[in-house]
Amino acid sequence: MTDTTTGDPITLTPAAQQKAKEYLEQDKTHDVFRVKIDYNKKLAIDLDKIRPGDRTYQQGGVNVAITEALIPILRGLIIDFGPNSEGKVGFQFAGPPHADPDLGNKAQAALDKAAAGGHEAGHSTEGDYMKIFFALFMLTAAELGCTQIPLPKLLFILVLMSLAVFKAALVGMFFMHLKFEGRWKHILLVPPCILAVVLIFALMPDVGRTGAWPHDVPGRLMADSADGK
Amino acid sequence: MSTATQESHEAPPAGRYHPVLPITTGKFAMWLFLATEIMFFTGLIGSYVVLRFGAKHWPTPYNFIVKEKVADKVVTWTAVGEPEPDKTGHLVFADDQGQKHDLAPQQIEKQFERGHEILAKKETPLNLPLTAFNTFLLICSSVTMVLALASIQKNELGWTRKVPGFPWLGFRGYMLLTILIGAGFLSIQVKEYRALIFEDEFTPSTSIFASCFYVMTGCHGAHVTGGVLYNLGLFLAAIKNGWNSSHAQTIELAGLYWHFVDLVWIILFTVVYLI
Repeated sequence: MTDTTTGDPITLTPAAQQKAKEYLEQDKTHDVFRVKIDYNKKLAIDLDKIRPGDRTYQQGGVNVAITEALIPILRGLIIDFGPNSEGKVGFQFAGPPHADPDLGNKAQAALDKAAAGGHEAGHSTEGDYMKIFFALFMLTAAELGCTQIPLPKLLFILVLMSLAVFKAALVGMFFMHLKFEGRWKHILLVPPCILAVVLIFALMPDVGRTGAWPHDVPGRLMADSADGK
Repeated sequence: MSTATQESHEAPPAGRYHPVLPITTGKFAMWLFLATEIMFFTGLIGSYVVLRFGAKHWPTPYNFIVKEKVADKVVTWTAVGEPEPDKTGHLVFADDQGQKHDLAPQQIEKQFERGHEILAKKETPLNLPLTAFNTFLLICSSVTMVLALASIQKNELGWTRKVPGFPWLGFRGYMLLTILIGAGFLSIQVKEYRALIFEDEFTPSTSIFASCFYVMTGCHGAHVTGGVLYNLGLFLAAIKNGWNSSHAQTIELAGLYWHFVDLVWIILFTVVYLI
């Protein structure tokens, strides 16, 4: 279910905004006023942090957060703060969603659907994972195959390292979901990758100083001779 | 009233915490940890690369054994010690009587071209087929881990799926499989170490290659052990507390760590065992 309606889905009355703001200012560990369906399938509010799949918006200086999948179901909800019919003071719900007797079941269904279909829309499916597994298996077999082919040492190293980096990239992109993550991944991962490359290049002079490539490994000479070559 | 946005970018009230990145703090922490792990393993692998390509001979002879049959008698030649830098290609062999022979490459070739039957020769103590199988195991465990995450996201929380057929297992099934495969990887690594140390006498003090080998694979093994325990803890907590899709992110974080460990092994396997 996709919500295409514009405007804030839930309205907080000035009294509710004032109270929510007070609570958030007192509670330094949370930063949003969450409207949700609790485990009893009832409407509830909570002070919380931003979570994946949230939509947040500002209302009277209060950061309101709702799980994206619940927006169509909760649209039109009004939250007030004051005494209820029994005289108890607290947050009160009003509006069409509050009057809906089947709200809890509808919300659960929407969350289940989002967990199943919604995730697949942006991520890989189980079938994709099996394809990646097959690709990794074949690439590992190709690496082992390369060790049986007499290749020049430098070419041998280049081929094997290319295969290894490609395999690692597949794991990172699909199993770690980096392919589907936002731009934040660059902020976190580009610096260490640059440092890693810099480290290798910084160590290169030490390699160049001795300048010997392992093409004259004595053990190889010996193994060949033992084979009668 | 303001317009609704996917993530609010309006300035937070003064003195209030506001996340810098649009991800949860748990995920941020895990990626930050993995970023430090990238540097950790790059340091290890980088040092190995420098030592290896800077060396005149590699692998440094550690336990080069040739068994040849000379007049119905098995003679064992064992390469010992480090090559001397000014003697290119020289290897020192100890024969059955413990007598040492300093042989140049041409002499080594002639030594074993005498028409004697070669019974066994070992140029490397590393067991490539066994390790290749271990690599395959770790890749399998990555797949089962990602399938465990997909299962909990879909509220498939049991041992098997509610609907029979692919992908067959539910969250519990795939988590248990991941733990078992991870433990299998460790068991094979222990078996490999045991054979190397007690059969081939390939210990960390044998050579610089042996030191590098044990440091790199040992650090990785420690990470796998941590990952198995981490997954086991989550698995037990999930069973005890009846976790559902709302706990998917906890599993996702464990998955990130586990896949990273797999990713590191892919590079290590190539660098240490294949090249």
